Amino acid sequence: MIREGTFGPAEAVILLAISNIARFFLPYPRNLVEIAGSAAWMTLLGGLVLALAGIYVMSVILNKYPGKTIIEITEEVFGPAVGMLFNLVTVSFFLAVGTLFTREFSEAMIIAALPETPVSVISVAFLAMGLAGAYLGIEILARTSRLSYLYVLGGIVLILLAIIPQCNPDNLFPLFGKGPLPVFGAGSLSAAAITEVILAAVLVQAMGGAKQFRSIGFRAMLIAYGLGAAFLATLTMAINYHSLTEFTLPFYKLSRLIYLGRFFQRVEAVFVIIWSVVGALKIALTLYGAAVSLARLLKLPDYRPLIWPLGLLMFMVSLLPPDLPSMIRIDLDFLRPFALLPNYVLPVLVLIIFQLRRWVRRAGP
Amino acid sequence: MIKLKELLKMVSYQENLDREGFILKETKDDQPGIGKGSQVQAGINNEQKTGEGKQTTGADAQQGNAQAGQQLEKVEQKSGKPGQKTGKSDQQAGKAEQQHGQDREQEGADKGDGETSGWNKKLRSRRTFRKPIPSSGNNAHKAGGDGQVSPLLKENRDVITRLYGLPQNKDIVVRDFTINTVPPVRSFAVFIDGLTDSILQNLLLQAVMAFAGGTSPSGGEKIADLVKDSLLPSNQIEATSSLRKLLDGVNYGETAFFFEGCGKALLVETRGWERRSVDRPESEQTIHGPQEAFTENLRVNTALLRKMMKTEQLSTEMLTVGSRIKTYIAVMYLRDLANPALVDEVKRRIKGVKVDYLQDSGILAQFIEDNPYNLNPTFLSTERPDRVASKIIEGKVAILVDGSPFALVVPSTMYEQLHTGEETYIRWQFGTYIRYLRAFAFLISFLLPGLYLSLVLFHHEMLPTELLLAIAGNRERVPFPSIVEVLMMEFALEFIREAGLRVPGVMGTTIGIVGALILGQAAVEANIVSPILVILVAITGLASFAIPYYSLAFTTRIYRFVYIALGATLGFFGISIGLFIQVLLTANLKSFGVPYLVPTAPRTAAGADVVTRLPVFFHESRPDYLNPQDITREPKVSRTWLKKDGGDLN
Amino acid sequence: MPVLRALVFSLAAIITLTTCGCWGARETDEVAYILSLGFDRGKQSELLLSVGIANPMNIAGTGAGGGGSGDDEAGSTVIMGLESNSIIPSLNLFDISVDRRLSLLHTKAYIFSEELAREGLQKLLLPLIRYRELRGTSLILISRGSAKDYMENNKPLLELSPTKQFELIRALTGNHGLYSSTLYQHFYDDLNSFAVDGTAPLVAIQESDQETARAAAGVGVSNLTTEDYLAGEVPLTGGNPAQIIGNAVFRGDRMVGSIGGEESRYLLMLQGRFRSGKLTVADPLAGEPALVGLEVRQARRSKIKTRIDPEGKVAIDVDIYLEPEIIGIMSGINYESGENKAVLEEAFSLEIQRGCQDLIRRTQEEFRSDIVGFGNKAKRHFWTTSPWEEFRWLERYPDAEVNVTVHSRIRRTGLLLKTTPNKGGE
Repeated sequence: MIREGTFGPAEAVILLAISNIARFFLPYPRNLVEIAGSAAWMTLLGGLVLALAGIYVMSVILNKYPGKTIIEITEEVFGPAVGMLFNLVTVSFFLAVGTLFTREFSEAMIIAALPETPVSVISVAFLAMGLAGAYLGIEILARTSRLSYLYVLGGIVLILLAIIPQCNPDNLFPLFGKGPLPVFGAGSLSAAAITEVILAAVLVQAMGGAKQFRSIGFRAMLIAYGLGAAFLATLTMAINYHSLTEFTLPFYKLSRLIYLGRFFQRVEAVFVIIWSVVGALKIALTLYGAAVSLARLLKLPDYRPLIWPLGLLMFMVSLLPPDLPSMIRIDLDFLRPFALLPNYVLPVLVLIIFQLRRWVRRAGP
Repeated sequence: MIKLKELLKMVSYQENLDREGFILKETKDDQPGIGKGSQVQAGINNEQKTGEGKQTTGADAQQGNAQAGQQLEKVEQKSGKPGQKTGKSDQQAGKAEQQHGQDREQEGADKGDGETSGWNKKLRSRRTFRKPIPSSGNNAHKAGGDGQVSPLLKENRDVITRLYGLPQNKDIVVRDFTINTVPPVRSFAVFIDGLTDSILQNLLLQAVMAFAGGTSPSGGEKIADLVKDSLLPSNQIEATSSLRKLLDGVNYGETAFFFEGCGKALLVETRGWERRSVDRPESEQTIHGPQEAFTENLRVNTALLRKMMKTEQLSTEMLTVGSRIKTYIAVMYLRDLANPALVDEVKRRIKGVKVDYLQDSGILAQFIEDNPYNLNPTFLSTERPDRVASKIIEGKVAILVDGSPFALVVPSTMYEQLHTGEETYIRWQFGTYIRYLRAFAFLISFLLPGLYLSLVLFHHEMLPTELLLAIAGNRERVPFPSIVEVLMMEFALEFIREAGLRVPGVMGTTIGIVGALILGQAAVEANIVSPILVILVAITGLASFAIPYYSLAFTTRIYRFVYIALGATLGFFGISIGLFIQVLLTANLKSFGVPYLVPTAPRTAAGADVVTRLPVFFHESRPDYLNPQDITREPKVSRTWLKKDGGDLN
Repeated sequence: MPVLRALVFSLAAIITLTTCGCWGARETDEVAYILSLGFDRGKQSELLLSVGIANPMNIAGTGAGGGGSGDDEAGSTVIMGLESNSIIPSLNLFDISVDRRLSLLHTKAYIFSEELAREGLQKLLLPLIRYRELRGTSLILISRGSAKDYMENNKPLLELSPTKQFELIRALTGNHGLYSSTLYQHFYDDLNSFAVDGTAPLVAIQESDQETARAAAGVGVSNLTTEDYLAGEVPLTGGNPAQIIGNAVFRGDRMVGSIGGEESRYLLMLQGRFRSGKLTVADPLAGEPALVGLEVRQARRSKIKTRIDPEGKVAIDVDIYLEPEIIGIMSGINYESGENKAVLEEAFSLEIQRGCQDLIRRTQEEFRSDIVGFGNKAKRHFWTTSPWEEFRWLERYPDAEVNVTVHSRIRRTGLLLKTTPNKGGE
């Protein structure tokens, strides 16, 4: 079967946390502010609850079939035909996320650092990094994320601390933003859709088995959403929510505002390094997830030959949308609801069908 | 009026025998194997293998209408005793010659070869290059020294004469003497002059010749045992009948004694030659700690380690590597501490090295290392015995190679390669400070020029305005683009570094410093570089000197150029690409089963001594990743004198 | 062979990277840095753009003009002007003369003339904020008079690099509080905000000189002048003719008035952003009019409490905490003793209170804009954004009732602990 290597819970937590944080570097927080007004950070708390629930459900499923990942479980529970359909949904989810990230990170890089470089060059660079990472395996990716987490998370915390002199707590009011319903309803759903519960479920064997899945998942979600909430809160405090909905890259805008004296200003170029690392990790992870899922789906002995075609596919599809606003709109209208499908709907369905079959079996002879 | 003939003679080609001088012709082993030639070759090889002095080899035959007897003789001599070694180099040089002078030479010289087109020749030679012809070296040894000692003294002497190429080989001395037992026994001793201690030998001969009287050997085989047990007062004697062993021994400085009528010979340890004395380490200097360094002699090195680790658990296993010339390798480890799997793996790898001659530990390391294509070194090579001792006590394995003052320690991690003994011998606060400084220097040494380029070319906004305007102002006068400037200065620094190694002694440091200063200053004055770049390159150079391990410093030197290229084309994004790929490749590395970036990359138990150095009384366990047999090295309370009534007073 | 493969790979990478050129790599000697950008009403077109371009050779000391910045033709900054209708696209037109690509990466100050400000700044700020090169941390300055005049006549005395001047300007407000500097980003936020209105510092070239200047305060009146100074009115002699003091008040994106230096101090105190400054107060105990000099520091941020009653009327209470330190007593009265100190504190508090109330009255009646930012605190009464936005704070503010209380404590008295007045020589 596929040899994956293993890594411990510390690295798994960091890997998943970084994978979940990656969205905040993109135009995504702007969307949250649009939905929720000045209470954008609360949507993340709502999303945290949903994500924890998703992890719980997934861990229940995984514990019923120790030694298997979600791909095999789906196939077993639903039967070969429907199971394959669902698994293809998972694979296409990974590919969609990877494509989205490739395009959006490349665009973000152009806006932030290299305004005159064509998109394809940066996409190629990101995909090359992703390919290298996916080829070397999940163990190496976990180790890399463990090595870089100090700088990534530390860098984020540093920005948040450096912007404090310009924060005005009054900007957090009105407290509930556009109202509790949009905040906790649409906002939470939107926030919950950024998680990668299904990625954790695909990697579960490498992480040390289903037993640790719950604690790893909980910790990773806590870190990711907690940091995200802190980030959004600081963002809202520093810049009024009116102006905030105008910016393409809120994180970038925040780092541009840092002014700690004559010398230490405009240090956003340093954060370009943090972004690139996070983007490369994320793309490598999704590519790996897609390749491994496909390999398990087709019962292939190794996933490595699939990396190159999948990567190429990602690259080509990522260049399809004509401009950045349409890309964001695709993300909003299409990908966000689509993400709910494998992450939340699928496990619940699996659980239901599993219970049904058990009842049927018990009710049988 | 010149006659036509003379004119023609003048303009036609004349071979100039004086100028041509010695030409290395190929020996038979080197010839492109023709279909029939392979058999001929094999036959000729066999001839060579039996080491007949007079080479009527194919090479000779090739010389048929060859140039001069002078060359013939040279070839002869060359394919004489010291064997196949120079014969091989002969052949190799001959191959090179082959490429140049091939057409000219082979034209007439090749009798057995019908083809004359040089290109075909090359093609064939390349093809037959690939044929797995066993290297003659191996066979030579096997065939030559495979015999047994014969009871007849004359036979033994003939064998020795033949094998060593006597009487031309003046290094070998054969000393005939008689042991005056009753009845006297004729014998002779063989040794290599210069490798033996003559005083010791005189004592031995004295013992045998003068003080042996009275004893009555029972004749035959017992003579050797008698001499060994009673007569020769040497501290290491071996009686053997294997010719190979005797030859190996004599080659390495021992003396072989042959007796009349005895099928066994004695090998006596009489080593003594000029060697470098134990001196201060040349490349790894510290302020504190022992100041001894390994030398080239294996016994001296093992002794240096032994006197630090005074325990019976320290094992030294001797292996030999090299098919033509044996090199002794000592593998040292603690039997009750090191992971047996690790030791077995090390021995397995060393035994699996098939090479002609192994000169140095660096070459051995390249043979047995895990990933030869990655830039990072995965072994530690040091010349300080205290460092090796501290690693052995952690459970690692040390490999000492005879003839090399550098010992290898495996397995090795990157953090360990950034440590020196300096931090262990001084207090932990200072050690931590040095470590952090060194970590910073490590990062700077490959990132700084790339960062500068990406800042100045892409990210002007990140520099403070005054600094940027100062840089811009200074750059107005420089005619080169930034990247050319940086590359020029980097190359200049590399040249200075390389040249500084070779400038003799006293002048060396002066020229280095003065050269660098003047070069930089003059370059600035001449408007070739901007002053900020001189400072930058100097800081980078200094930072790379702060890395204690030479190979790792080399790694950063090469990475620096990669980052320069990346930074100049894609700015900070390029730098981050480089960082990501470098971390990926480095995290992928393993050194004898231990991941290269442990304990941070796979998260093992936090070491007490990775970057921050905890006080010595907190180093309670050995590094976890080695899985030694005993993980504790200090009890929880290491300073029992702290307790009120603790500590003995005796 | 893996080596061969690696070689081919790296060769391909190198070729790809180098033959396509380095996109966007700009050497520092291909770019000209704009240090300040000025906007005026143009005579024929809508805008008159003035750019101040840095001359790096002069600044680095390597130019033909030597290290000095006093030369007119080879100074550290070169001012150029252009009439046009748009901002960013017209930067290209400057390129044709400067022969370099102009870059806004290091623009430290955007100077708008008062004329333009009175007409509304939204249409000018909006296109700029989209541009990537703009620094959100640059200053916004309003110039009384033409921005071009200001930029041309602004010759910093002691700085070699003009950008240092703007950095110092931004930081100096903490020293005296005579104007309230604001970053581009925050100013833009304030323009858009429902809760607060923006202010920007005033700059001008000195128009008055010794003769025409208004008389300095007579001894005994606790203010620097009988009226407040605006930029350009301070009668300095010598030095840089450019002055910065006072603030411009905006309602929405239009400028509706200006407040002087003292009033800016009160504004900062009300906002809680006042750091320190040297003020005077009339000597309460002296027989003849005298002044006491005080160095005032803000002890704590000001506390603003708002109450909204059901009809929508707003009542605001402001508490300001100040810590003066005695730095000069002209009359020689021993204010370090207990009762005298209390008297001084009382007088000081009343003085500041009066100034603050005057300012607030002015903002409510004359300007009708909430520049202090009471709206930020009033926001707390609302749970969601829609009621807040319907509340229309900025329109209700002029009817709000504001009470200001100042608490001051004199903590230190300098080097002298007891003043003993001079006895002799009448």
